Order: sequence, then C-alpha cells, then structure tokens
Amino acid sequence: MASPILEVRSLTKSFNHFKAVDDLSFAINKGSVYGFLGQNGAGKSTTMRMLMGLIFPDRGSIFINGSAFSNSQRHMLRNIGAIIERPDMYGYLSGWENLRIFAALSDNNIKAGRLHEVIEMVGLKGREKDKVKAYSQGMKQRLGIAIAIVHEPDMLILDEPTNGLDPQGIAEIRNLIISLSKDHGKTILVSSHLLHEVEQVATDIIIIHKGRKVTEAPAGQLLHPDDTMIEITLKPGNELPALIAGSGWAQFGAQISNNLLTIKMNPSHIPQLNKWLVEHDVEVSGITTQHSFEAYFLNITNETTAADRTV
Amino acid sequence: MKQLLQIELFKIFRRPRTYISFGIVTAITFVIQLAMLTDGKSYMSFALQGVNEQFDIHGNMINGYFITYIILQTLLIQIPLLVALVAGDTLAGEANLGTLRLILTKPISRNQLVLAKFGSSFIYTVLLVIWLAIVALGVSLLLFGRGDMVNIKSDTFILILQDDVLWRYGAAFCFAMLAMTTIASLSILLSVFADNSIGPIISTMGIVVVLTILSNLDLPLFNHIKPYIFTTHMIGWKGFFDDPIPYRQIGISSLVLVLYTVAFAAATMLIFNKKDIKS
Repeated sequence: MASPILEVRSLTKSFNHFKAVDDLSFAINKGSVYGFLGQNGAGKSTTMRMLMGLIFPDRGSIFINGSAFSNSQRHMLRNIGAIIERPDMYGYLSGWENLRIFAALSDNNIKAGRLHEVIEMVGLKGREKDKVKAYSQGMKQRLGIAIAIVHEPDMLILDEPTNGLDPQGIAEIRNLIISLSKDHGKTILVSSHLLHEVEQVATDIIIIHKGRKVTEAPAGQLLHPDDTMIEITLKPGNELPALIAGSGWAQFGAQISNNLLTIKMNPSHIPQLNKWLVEHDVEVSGITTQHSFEAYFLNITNETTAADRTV
Repeated sequence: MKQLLQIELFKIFRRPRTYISFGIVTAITFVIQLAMLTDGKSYMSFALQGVNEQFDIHGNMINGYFITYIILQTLLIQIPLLVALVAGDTLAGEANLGTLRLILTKPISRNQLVLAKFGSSFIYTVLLVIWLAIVALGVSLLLFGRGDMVNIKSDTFILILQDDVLWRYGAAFCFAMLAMTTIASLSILLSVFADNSIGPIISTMGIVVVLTILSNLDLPLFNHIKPYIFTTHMIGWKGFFDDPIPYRQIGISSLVLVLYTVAFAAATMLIFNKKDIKS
C-alpha cells in the first residue's frame, strides 16, 4: 500500500500552559478530500500551521510523502499549497503581481501562461490587474487559492477557506474545491467549523476537540442518513408514549419529552410517521430534522467535554 | 536567492512609504540649502568670529562642500529614522499584513528569507545615502559652487583645499552607508520580535538616541564602554575631514560597525528560525 501523502504522528503543541494540540495523529491518503473539523479553538489552525512549518511542535512528527518534515527540510513544501487562515496579500500590488510573487517563491520556472490559467480557473479573469486592496473578501479567497495551486502541488491545505464569505462566495469556493479534487486530482485537507460545508466536499472526516482527535472516518460512515435526528413537536394532551411503545417506531429509539418526540431514522420515513400520527389522532405542530452529521458532531464533542469534566 | 532578493526589492520600491524617505531627505536638504542661500554669510561670519580675528580669510567659503558638511551634520538623527522606517517594517510589517504567514507556506528556508530581507534593506539604505549625496553634494555644488572647505570644530579650524575634498566626500558617504546598514540590521533584528512595524521603528530610534547620548557624554563612567557602542563609531565619517585623517580609528570604527551588523544578522536568523508564526 502506498504511503500517505501526509502523516502526522503524536503532534503536540502548547502555548504557555494551554495545550492547543494534544498527541494528534492522522494520515491523509492521496486523492481524497479530508474535512478537518472542530469547534473554534479546537486546534485546527495550530495543526495546519505546524504542517506548513509556521509553528514548531513540542513533540511529534510530520511526514510528507513518507519523509520526515522539519524546518531544515522546507523544500518539501514544494508539493503542498496552502492557505492558512485569511489569505492576506499585498494590498498595494495587483492580483497579478501578488500571484507572480508567490508563484516565484514556489517555483522559479512558472511561466506567465500558467498564471493566466489559474487566474481563469479561480474566476478572476479581467480583475487580475486591479489592486488587491480593492478586492472583496471572496476575490481575496479565490486569489489565495490561485496562489496555493499555481505551482501545481499534489496536496492543498485550506484553513477555513469560506470564512467571512457570503453564501454565494461560499458556494463558489465549495465548487472550486470540488473541481480541484475531481478535475485536477488534488488531495485536499480542508478545515472548517461549518459542518454543512465540509459535509458537501469531504470524502473523509477528522474531528478534533480541545486539541485531541475524537474521530476519523470516511464521510459516508459518519453521514449515514439513517442517523438523522427528527424532532416532532406535538400538541399537548395526547397519549403517544403508550402508542409509540407498542408500535414499530420504537425500534428507532423514539423518545418523548415535553411534547417533543425525537426519533433517529432516515428522513424518507417522515411522511409515513406523520401519516401514522394523524391516524392515531395525534396533532403535530412542527417537524424539524437535525442534520445527522451535526447531531453526531455535537454529540461527540459534548461527550468529550463531559468526559473532561469527569476527569 | 537572487529571485528572493528581486522580490523583496520589488516590494520595497512598489510601496509609497519608501519614497517618503527620499522626499524627506530632499526636503530637509532643500530647506538647509535655501537657508544658506539667503542667510549663509551671517551664519559663516558667526561661525568664524573667533577665527577672523587671527586670520584673513578670502574666497568662496559658503561653497557646496561646506553646505554639504552642514547638511550631513543635521541629518545625523533623521537618516537612521528613515532607514528604520523601511528596515523595521521588513519582518514585522509582513507579520502585520499577514503575508509572512503566506510567504512561509512556500518552499523557501527562513534563512534565505532573512538574508533577502537584509540584502534588500541594505540596497535601500545604500540608495538612500546615494540620493543624499546627489541632493546634498550635487545640488549644493550646483547652487554654491566649489571652493576650499572649512571644517570648524570646537577647538580647531581645518581648511581643506578644494581639489582635496571630493574624494573625502566619496569616502565619507561610503562610511555612512556602512553605518546606516548597521542601523538597518538593528531594525530588522527588532522587527523579528514585533507583529507591527511601529515597535521596531520606535525602538531603533530609542536605542540610537540613548546610545548617541552615551557616546557624547564625557563622564568617566561611560568612557569605558564608549568604544564598544556602535553609535560612537557611526560618526567616523567625520574623520575624513580631519587633518591628518585618522585612518586607524576609521578602520577600527568600520570593523566595529561590520561586527555589529553581522551580529545583528546572526541574531535575527537564530531567533527567526525558532519563532512560531502566530500572526
């Protein structure tokens, strides 16, 4: 089996007495899009900064294509493109000049044709000669991605690439990530605290909480529709508990509390359940679905927090 | 490395702030030249009042060489500030912009980046001193003409024949470049510790002002440390207008400045190589 394109072993980093990343290990395989998830302050950015050699780990190792990466081996970053937090650039220079500068830092031999190609790819054609200070946040993000991919790296590390963007900007970046993965074969590690966004692009998911990895699995496994949490608000004064207990819905772990029926099942069963409730004279005033992954994420991070409190 | 240096120079000379320094040098020089053009004779008679009683001095004393010397004396504090304005911004300014983060995601070594920053700051410094030479010496010679140069010191009066002056200015400006690169190095070193450029610029000036005061204080306590302070040696350019020229002292001063520059650069690399980039 081929070695992972990127591997992290027991990565640990503290700032003063605060442990930002704690014994973190994971591996990124070629051709996949990894969603790197965690709440704000979970340690995502610190991890990504360590991957790019911006921050030095207290302990642990990073391997790029099977070789150990350190500050003296920065040439290994040739194969990686990254945006860490905001893609800040020189506002007094044009988008084209910024791209040219960062392209030259990545590889001396990048030709103007390649710069035109990536400008077009990220949708900045026609605006590349404008000063970056006149760019919107979305345009800066796209230029940041252009800078990250201009030297044709195999892997991209994108830290919160949709931060500060409007819904349209978020959709554009999402589509760009999907295109980079599917059409250009890039391996991507993308961090976010926006679960819905990651869910739409990731093939694999790593969740960290308080600097520690809490789960790592293929997205399909974590995002199974059967795990969708459905909440049904009922009108008061019904005898549903007894009805439910004796029905087939009990197998989905149905629970009732304060006129709220919660049940974990595939959303495709909702019409059937609604029909059943109506047939049994139970008045329904609202139905909401809590996204399966969101529920899973909240559950798993809360569990970790609770375990910490117990310790 | 050459590419990195070109990029750094491109960034420096595309930024409006860079040209402020050249503008300030031009403005100060012009103000002094204008003042001397209108009031130079009374200034000269005041400066030579003790000397005139003992010597009969003839010729064009308020000439381009004399004016240039006055300009250089005046700009002793301003030029380091203008050097710090750009050098202090090299790393801290990038940290403040957030571009340092983006630069260091690229496959270049931190040492290469620091060396490119030093190289570009030195080139900027040298160009600033050359500009000073053009507007101070060149324009003064055009406005006031040539002549023997009078160097008035507190206890002596040195007259340098006009044919013997120009090379001394050449040497003095080269020495000034060396002294200013030491200031640039100090600014870059201080720049490593900060995430905005105001801190290193102000700190550089603070250090230069305090050490210049120490260098000029004639107190036994400070006399022992003066030879080791770089500001003591920064005024070594004045030696080229002495008679005889203290070549040995100028050599020692040059060496001290080079050593300080190398030490500041080495310290910058050492610290930058261990620094976590959190900006």
